[in-house]
Amino acid sequence: MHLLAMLAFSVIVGVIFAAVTSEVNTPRERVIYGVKVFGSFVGISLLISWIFYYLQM
Amino acid sequence: MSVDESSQPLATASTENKILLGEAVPAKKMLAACILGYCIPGVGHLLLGKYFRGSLFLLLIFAMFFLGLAMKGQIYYPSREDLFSIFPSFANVGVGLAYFVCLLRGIGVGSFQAAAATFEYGNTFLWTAGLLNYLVVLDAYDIAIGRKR
Repeated sequence: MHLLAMLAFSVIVGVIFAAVTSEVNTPRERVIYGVKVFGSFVGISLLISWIFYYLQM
Repeated sequence: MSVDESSQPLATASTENKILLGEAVPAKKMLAACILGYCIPGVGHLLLGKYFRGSLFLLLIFAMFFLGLAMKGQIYYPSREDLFSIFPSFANVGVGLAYFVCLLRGIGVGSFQAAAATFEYGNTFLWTAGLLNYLVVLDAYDIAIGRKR
């Protein structure tokens, strides 16, 4: 449930950020930007969750 | 920037940016796009002819909002007893008409939902849906004034 919620959140925010950004010019760059946002959300969330896992121990 | 350049519309401010910028629409249409875009996410873009982007925003923001409600998120409203409720209320109200419909019908209103395990996730989805809609309205404004295509 936690992972699914995080993935759903990351996908939606990634797509919307990619659609509104003015930092890119081509559709390809837009897709790459969206994937980067999605990857950042998921990657940083997993990193923080592992840090907390070890802190708890 | 010279005086001549500053007097030109944004859409034709420079030759370099001309490719990236769009044409400005009349003020009435711009206002309608912003207001309708706020009331129903994505409709501002649809009005400006950005059908794909508008449909995407409509679908995704409503998906996020309804997922938030399904996860037992709370619809906040400003209260004198809890001044900090202003912040979540501001985020919630961003989603437009759907917020007011939920408030009037009592959907998601009340802190009894805090007992649900997914309460915090639901809140985050609801707040983010509202905040993203503010961003989408600003995007519609940028398109309407010709700052963006």
